Formats: sequence, structure tokens, C-alpha cells
Amino acid sequence: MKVNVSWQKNLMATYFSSKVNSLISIVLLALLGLFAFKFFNWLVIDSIWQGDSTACREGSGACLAFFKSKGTYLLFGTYPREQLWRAILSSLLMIAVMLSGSLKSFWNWKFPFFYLVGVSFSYYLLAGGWGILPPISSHLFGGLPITLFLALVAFGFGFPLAIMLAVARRSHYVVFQKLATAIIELVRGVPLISLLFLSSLLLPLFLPQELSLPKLFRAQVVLIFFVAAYMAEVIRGGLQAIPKNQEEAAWSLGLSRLQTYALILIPQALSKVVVPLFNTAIGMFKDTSLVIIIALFDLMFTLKSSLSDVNWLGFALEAYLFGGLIYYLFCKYLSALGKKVNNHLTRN
Amino acid sequence: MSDVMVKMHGINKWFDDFQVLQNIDLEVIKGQRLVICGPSGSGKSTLIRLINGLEHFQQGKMEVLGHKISSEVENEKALDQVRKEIGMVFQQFNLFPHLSVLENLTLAQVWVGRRTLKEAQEVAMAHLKRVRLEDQALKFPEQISGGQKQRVAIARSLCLNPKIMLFDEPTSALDPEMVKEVLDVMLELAISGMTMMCVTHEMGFAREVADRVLFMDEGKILEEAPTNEFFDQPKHPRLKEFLTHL
Repeated sequence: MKVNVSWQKNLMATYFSSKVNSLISIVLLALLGLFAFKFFNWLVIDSIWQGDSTACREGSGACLAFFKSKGTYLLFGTYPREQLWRAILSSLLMIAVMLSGSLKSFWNWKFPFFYLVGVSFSYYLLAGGWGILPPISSHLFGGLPITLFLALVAFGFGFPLAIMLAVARRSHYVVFQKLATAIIELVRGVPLISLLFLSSLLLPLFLPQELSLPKLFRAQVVLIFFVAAYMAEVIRGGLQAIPKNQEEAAWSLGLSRLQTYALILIPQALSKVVVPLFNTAIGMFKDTSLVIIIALFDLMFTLKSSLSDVNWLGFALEAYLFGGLIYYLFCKYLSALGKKVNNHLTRN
Repeated sequence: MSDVMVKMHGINKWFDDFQVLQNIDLEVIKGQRLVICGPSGSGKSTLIRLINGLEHFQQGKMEVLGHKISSEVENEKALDQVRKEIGMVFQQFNLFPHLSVLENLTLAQVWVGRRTLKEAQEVAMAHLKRVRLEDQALKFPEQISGGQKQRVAIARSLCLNPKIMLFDEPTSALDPEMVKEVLDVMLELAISGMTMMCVTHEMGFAREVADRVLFMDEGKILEEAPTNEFFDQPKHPRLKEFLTHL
């Protein structure tokens, strides 16, 4: 039976149940309060909204004027200013695709459909090239759209590939098994930075000149495989947790091996590994920032490079807090989504 | 095609060095109800699992429903066909926990039997009614009792109109109270003329339903006789000993 306890009693029991507990609570709350007060002062009361960097240096608060001047660059990099609406719309569309993943009414054919349409169209918005939008070269892309695009495509294509790799690794066809194992071990065994370097330096050496892909695509392929290799191992763990007798029951009913995987084993395996899958996804989302290494100008790059603007030296705290907040919001969303999916699956 | 549904000749099977089946000869005729009994580890489950290819053998010849199953290669094609025509019920029920009772029954009909979902649901409900569980159709396996699960498993196997039903200790994982409800369903199935092979320790059931009983120990068939003869005039000393323990 659930007993209703008043919040006052609850508070007393949680934070002030004994002398030691009270002391710890008071000291920690005081420290927290002090920090919050100072931070609030810095961010709101003393913050500087107007003027240039000189005004900011004279004041003691957060320099929000920095964002007025550099905000567009932070979010969209060197994307041509007269076409900026395209980058904005494209980012909003990709965010909409992400958010639609949390709608239960989309957990069927609708989400994959909206994903493919949304991601394709947001790429068209960014790059243009045919129809009414003039082309814009992918080396001018920057900031948030790059981060979102890399992450969305890496997850959207990496996840199905991960399922295929996990299944192939358990296949009784030795060729599939060895190939999947080789891909997974290779990608997991090499740091992402090295893989990105390889993609930008080595691949062009092997491929003919005409086939040279833009950097964005080379990085994208690496990220897809990176996501796939890690997620494949998580999914394989889920598959191993399913008793052999599920497989036998499915075969006895006449289901083929492929049908057994698609209808019986994979749905059960995925529901067991939702938590580690989203854990991997969150890590990967942040790892997209490593594409800086091959000079792709994602959000982390625009942050860093904005700091070296001679007119605005010395506002690293503001810039990093802003970047941190954006990454935090997306990761928090992924985490909440993971929880929702997990609750949905475990309730059944 | 003759009425011989399953034919085994000189089957030998090893798990590594351990020989689980020794020189098995067996014939099951249409409409026959064969009970296989024997102590644990005697190879009776392995024997029944050979028939729909959940186990493979190394030596001998087997023919199931006119399909030759060879020992040499894993002959997926023949096995696929055989599995579509044979139903199997397991000790641990093996329902699919992520699907509702109804979905457990319709899945194979839609994907293997090529029925529409609506047809499949009608067939499924008819079979659920047969095992008296039509009111449980929308529940999930974890929400029903062991006896109910096993009855659902039987109904699931029946949906594709199998020619043979295999039972691998169907009541061994059940509370004594629930054994009867499952045996009743199996009894009705036997009366309807289904060809059945059943590994069980329920000797009462064997006496009532089987028309032939087979006793195995250490991978060998030691005795095979019509039911009355099997229980009333056992010949092999090992079987006599086994029967005194019941």
C-alpha cells in the first residue's frame, strides 16, 4: 500500500534525519547555494548585453554581447550569409526528425519514412544544386547542421548495419561470420581519430581521381561503421541472452533462419539492450566532434575557432558553456528517449 | 505415398565421444500414437528432436513424410519442408514472450502458411477455443499459468495443420494440478486421429492414449510393444525394473 507522507515530513526524513545528516545537508546546501548565487549574478545580473569586447572586459559578468556578434558563426560556421535561412531550416528539420522519434504514434513505418524524407530534404536544403536552390559546396557547411547531420545519418544507417553485423557474426556461413568479425574488430580496435585520418588520407590514394568523395561523406562513412561496430556488439550481447529454445520453437513452426531472426530473436534482443544501446548512442553523438581532425567544421570547431577572433579574445567560458549546453540538451534528449523506449518495451 | 510417416534405420548419433543413439530402427504409421519412455539421459528427447531436424545424426537413414533426411549434410531444403508439416511441443513451452497469445498463433500462419492476418486470426481463435483459452487471446505469455502456456503452445503447433505432432516431455515442467488440463487436450487430439510421438513420464497417459510404447535406455531401444503388452508382459529386465519404480 502506498502511504501518503507530507512533503515536509519527507524532507525531514531525507535530509535531517540525524545530527550528522543535518550537518552534511546544511553544509552542502550552503555551498550549492553560494555557487548558484554567484553563477546567477554572473550570468544574469552582471551580464553585458550591449557593446563590444571592451565593454565586456570592463564588466564582471557574462559577455552575452559575444553571442550577438558571433552567434551566427557559432551555429552555422561559414555558411553563406545570404542563404542562411537554408541552414536554419535544415537544422530545424533535423531536430524535428529527432524529436519525432519520441512520438509513440511514429513507432512503426512512419518514423523510418519521416527520417529518410527529413534527412534527405535537410541535405538538399544545405547543399542545393538542382531545382530552385543554388548549390553550396559542402566545405562551406559548418556548426550545428554538420553535427546534427553526421549524428543522424550515423545512427540511422549505423543501427541497421549493426543488426546485420551482429546476425552475420553468428551466422553458420563462415564467410559472413569472418567478414563481420573482421569489420567489427578492425573498427573497434582503431581509435576514431585514426579512422578519420585514414578516410581522408588513405582512401583517396586507393580510389581513382574521379571517385574522390567530399570529406563530409568520407567522415560519414567512417562514423556509420563506427556506430555499427559498437552497436553490433551490444546487440550480439542481447542475442546471446535469448535462450536457444526460442530459436528451436521458431524453426519447429517452419520459420526460416532469416524470419527467426527478424521476427523472434532481434525484437527480443533489442528490448534487452535498450539501455546500453542509448548509452553507446550518447557517446557517439559527442564523438562526432572528432571530425575536426580532418577539418570538418562542426559545432565544436566553430566554438574553438570563434575564440581565436582577435576582436573577441578571452571569452572561452561563455563559448564553452554555450556549446556544452547544446550537447547536453541533445544527449539529455537521447537519454530521455532511451528511458521511454525501455519503459515501453519492458511493460509488455 | 504409403502410410509410413517416419522411418529410421540404423541411426547412430554422437555428442563428441558420447554415443547418445545406438542403432535406432523405428517406424511410425499414420494415425499411430507412440509413447517413448525411459530414464533421464536415455536419448529419448534426442530421438524425437531428430525428426524435425533440431538434432542431426551421423550414421543411418531417415525418411520423414516422404522427405529423405541425410546424415551427411545439413539439408535445409528438406528440413524446411518437414518442419512446416510437423508440430512440436516443448517441455518449457517456448512461447514467444514479446508477442501476445494470439500473435504467437498467427505469426507462422502469416509468414509460413501465407495466410492473411484475418484468416490467421480466425484459425487461431478456433484452435484457442479447442484448448479452451479463447478468453486469453490478448494476454502475454507471462500473464498466464504454466498449464495455459502449454495449451497455447499446442494450439500454436496445430494452426498449420501438421501431419505429425511431437511432444517432448510436455508436462514435466508443470505443477501436478496443471498436468491434467494439458493431458486432456492431448487426449482430445489423440481421439481426433492425429499421429503423435510423445516423450513422457506420465505412464497413466501412455496406457490410456498410446497404441505403442517404446522403452529406451543408454541410447538404445530396449523394448517396443503394443501398450497392453508393454505394461502387462514386459520382457526386458531393465524395463521390468523401470516399471516397478512407477
